[in-house]
Amino acid sequence: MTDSLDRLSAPAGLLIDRSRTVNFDFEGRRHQGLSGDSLASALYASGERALSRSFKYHRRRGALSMAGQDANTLVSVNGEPNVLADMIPLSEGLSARAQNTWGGLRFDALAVMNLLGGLLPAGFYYRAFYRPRGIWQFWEPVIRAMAGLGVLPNRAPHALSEKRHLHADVVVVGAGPAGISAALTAARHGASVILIDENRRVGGSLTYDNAHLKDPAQRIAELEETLRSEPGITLLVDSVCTGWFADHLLSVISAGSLIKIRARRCILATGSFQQHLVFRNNDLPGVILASAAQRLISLYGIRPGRRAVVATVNDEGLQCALDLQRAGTEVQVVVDLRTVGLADSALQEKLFQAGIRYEAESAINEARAGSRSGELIAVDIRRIIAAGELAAAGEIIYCDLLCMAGGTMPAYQLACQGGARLRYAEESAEFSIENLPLGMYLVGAVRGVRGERVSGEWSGIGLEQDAAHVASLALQSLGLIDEPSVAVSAASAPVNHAWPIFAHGGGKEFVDLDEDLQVADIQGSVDLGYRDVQLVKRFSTVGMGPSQGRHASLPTALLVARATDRLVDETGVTTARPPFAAEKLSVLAGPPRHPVRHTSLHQRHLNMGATMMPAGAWQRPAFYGSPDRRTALIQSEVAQVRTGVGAIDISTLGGLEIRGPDSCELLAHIYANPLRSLAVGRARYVIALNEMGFVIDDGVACRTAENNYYVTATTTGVDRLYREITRWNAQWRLDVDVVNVSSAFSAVNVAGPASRRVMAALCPDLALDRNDFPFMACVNAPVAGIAARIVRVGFVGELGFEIHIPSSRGAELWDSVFKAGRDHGIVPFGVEAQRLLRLEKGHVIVGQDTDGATHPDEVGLSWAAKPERGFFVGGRSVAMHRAKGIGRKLVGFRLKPGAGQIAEGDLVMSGGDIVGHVTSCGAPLAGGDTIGLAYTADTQAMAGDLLRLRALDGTLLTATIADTPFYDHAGERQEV
Amino acid sequence: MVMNKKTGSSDFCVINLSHRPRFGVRGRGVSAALSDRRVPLPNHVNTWLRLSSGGITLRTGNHEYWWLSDAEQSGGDSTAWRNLSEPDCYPLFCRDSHCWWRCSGAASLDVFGQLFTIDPQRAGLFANGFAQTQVAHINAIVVPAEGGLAMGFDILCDSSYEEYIGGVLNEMAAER
Repeated sequence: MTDSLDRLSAPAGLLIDRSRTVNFDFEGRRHQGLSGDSLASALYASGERALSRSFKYHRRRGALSMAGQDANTLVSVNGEPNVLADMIPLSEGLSARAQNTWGGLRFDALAVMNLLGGLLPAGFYYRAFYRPRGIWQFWEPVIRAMAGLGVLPNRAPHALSEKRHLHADVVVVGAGPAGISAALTAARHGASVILIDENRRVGGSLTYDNAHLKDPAQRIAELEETLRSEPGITLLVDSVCTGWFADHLLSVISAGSLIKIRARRCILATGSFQQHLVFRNNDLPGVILASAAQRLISLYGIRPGRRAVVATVNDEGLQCALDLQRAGTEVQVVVDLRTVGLADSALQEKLFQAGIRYEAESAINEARAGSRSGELIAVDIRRIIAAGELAAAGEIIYCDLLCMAGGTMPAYQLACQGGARLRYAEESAEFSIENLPLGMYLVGAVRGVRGERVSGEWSGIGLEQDAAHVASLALQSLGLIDEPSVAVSAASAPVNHAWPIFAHGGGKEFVDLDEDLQVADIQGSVDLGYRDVQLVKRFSTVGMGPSQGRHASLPTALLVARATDRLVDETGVTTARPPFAAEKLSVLAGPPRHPVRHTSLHQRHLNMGATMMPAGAWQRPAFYGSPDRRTALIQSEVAQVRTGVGAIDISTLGGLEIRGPDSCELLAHIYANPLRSLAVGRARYVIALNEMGFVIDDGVACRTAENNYYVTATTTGVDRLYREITRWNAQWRLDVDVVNVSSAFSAVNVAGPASRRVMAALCPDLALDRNDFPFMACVNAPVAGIAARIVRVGFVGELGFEIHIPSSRGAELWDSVFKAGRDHGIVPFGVEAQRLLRLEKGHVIVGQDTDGATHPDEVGLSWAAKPERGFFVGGRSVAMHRAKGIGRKLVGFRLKPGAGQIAEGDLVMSGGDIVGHVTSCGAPLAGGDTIGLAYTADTQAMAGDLLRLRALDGTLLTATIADTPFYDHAGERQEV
Repeated sequence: MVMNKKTGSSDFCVINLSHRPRFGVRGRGVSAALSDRRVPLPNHVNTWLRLSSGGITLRTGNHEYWWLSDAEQSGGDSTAWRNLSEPDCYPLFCRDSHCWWRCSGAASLDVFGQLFTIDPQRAGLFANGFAQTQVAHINAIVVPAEGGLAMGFDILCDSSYEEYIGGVLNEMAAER
């Protein structure tokens, strides 16, 4: 910790309000900042430079960029881990803690790891913990306990976030001078524009590198006013674009929610990342980027240090030195890696006038830390004698601040997510971006255009004109203008150095601060044979930390190229993938919306006390009554259907109307069963197969008129069946209209020996006896005055009538059924009772008793699927499978009372082999056997054979294979 | 669900119009049959047309039209739709198959952006267009208000989701 630093007077401090103080605490200590401060800036002003400990060596770390571009500032805020301290605005009562510590930031017990660095090279865990066999089981929890970023709170509140969709002709990412110029150009030519920036204020580098502006605050305010008054521009500040996806779909995190932006053209004005220099102890608190120092001054009004050294490879460092001097920091020396004569002469003159020492062809050999504070106290500067080599002796300069301007790397991530490629020019030592996807454009620094300096001051000349020109290209491609504006020369002075890396015998020259990777780690990876930069990344984890290689890519590329004796352009950098910045899972998840379907009788079921259960997206009554009486209630409902009458809501059944001259032709080919012979007024059980000959659905087809069919389908299978039927209908070019009426119709099944009497009360004019309305007949007739379609079917094995009516009349019908059935003791029954009733009949439920590869023969449906009768979908495959032989079979089984508990999904065993599983089983009826259906090997599927079942807990049970149906084998009860 | 009762504020309010008459027909003979009955029809798929006699006609497919009533009870024009007996004319069941929600208020455009992924400009929603798309994970038809999308929009979706989509919309309304 250093002494607290005085705040500078305006115009410094673009973001802060000096009239309002904010109290907060960090590591249990109370602090005070100003409104508008970030947590990191407030701590910096308080003298707290260290914010966290590093990932591996637990070294003290402070902010590097002050722009949310490094992992050093990740802290825990109010229990939430991994919050960027340099991006989160300060709020009253905020409580923050450092991460990666064992015992606190100041006295971290794991700081001992820093002394063990030599034993922990990159990838050490790959080579250390595999012998003796099993030792990894010991080390894994130890390493896991020590690794990771932050601690997830176990009781984090649910975070809800919205998603939004925006659309524009042009989206511009980055509201710096170039982005603003592009956005204004586009909007003023009639394009709808969305302009995105991750910072709170627009202006990009103008907000901190602004010595050339008389009143930076006023200039930024003017820019904001210009943008806001432009009707074609939607401005999103404090919003991070995290990904580019096909067709210019951008993901943007803004105010804790996800915005998906779809644009016709995408202009990236993402700028560049200032790079650090690689030398020993380049990670000490007090060693920051030059732009970070400028941000502290300009955005937060903080004097970054008392005595500073600036190390640079370009003119940015010279400007930073002047800014520091103006802010009251005594600049000891500017150390420039360039040879004499390459610096801007006007800037050099200003340094001279300010009394700032300038040393060309020099670099930092080492930064030194105070023994107690662990923060920067001095640097060792030396003359460069060759690329990466320094003179044997140098000069120690005491300072509390070292600013690095190590060159720039274009913010290439979004462009490369779109398939663009980075190219490296050896002569300028710079990356450029090419092979952009269609409709993507670059402006500003990401394009290598930075604007010219005039008399040592940045002027923006060339930059804004170039951006306007690029925008005009986008406009032309949109057809909004005929000709693009004239291209301008936008050459910029070189900003990078060919070799800004100075390895040290003592190590700790960090290439990747996120992952604590040093020069030796990268070189060592190559020495082990990982010559490709992608392999180096995976072995060493370079670039895999939270900052995703923003600062590590360039030095890694240089080191790998040199170590493999190749050009940087040949080694390249690692692949950029979304997200560019961390995204919370809650933001990606969005609002918790789970579509739920209700039948028109839903409220009636609730009124009757139903316990509801999901069936696909539907909510259906499981049974009627309290869950604590579940078994008794289900048995009661079953008994009432067997002995009296019950009614069940079957509105969730799928329903398809098939109409038109070719409807018979279509259905005869879709379903395996023969349907040409089905007479008008009759219904038939049908199964549908896929082309592989496997069962995909079943239902009942009713021929309601010569060219009209009404087909029911399974609750969860109807959408697939509808897709298949419409696909075949189009392919076969038949004259048929197919409509999915699943939601249009409600349906009630009145079942039980007394059901005919109930129906007679509901349909006094309809002949209902066995001869007039036989089993598997269908008729259109009013029921309780409601136009209905009535089908005699027997899914539950009793006399039954399905009544299908428009869903808007569903509740009315339900009420009428119960009114008519009151004298017969009618009860509602739910899905559980229905399942048990059908199980007693041995009826298969497609999707429960079948899987994705169920042959009709396996489930006793060989009678329905006979390819020799003519073509139907899957018929040829059925025949082929049949010829090959069927290996398994669905059989009924009985389990004696007291033999144990069996459940759906339990295994069927043959010796030690699994040969099948239980697909359905029923709660034992009072005193009776447990019954069920199970797949078993075809060779042990005879009635009377023993079936070995393995329960979930490993218990082996013995059941007996039984003939199905278990109940009313002759079908006498349903066909009365 | 409660019908015909607005919820929300002046910024955004929601009303369930599922009780209102609507009718759909489709088939290769539908265009000719309706034209014979002097029913004006939209020229393009996914566009709508106001009828002088009340209600609007949506062209939901090459051979498919829906009629949505303005009134609580069916107007005269529904007769023409209901009595199509020509071959290749098939009634749809949109009164029963679809629920109908109306959203209106100054925040309509903003809510639209939260609910729908489509670009209203390109979907033609500012020019007598409507869209067949998804809302909150379910299929829906969205029809802008006659005064423009900024004034509001109607959503027609599977009637079994009536309560679900009503909940989503009312949640939106409650947030404003």
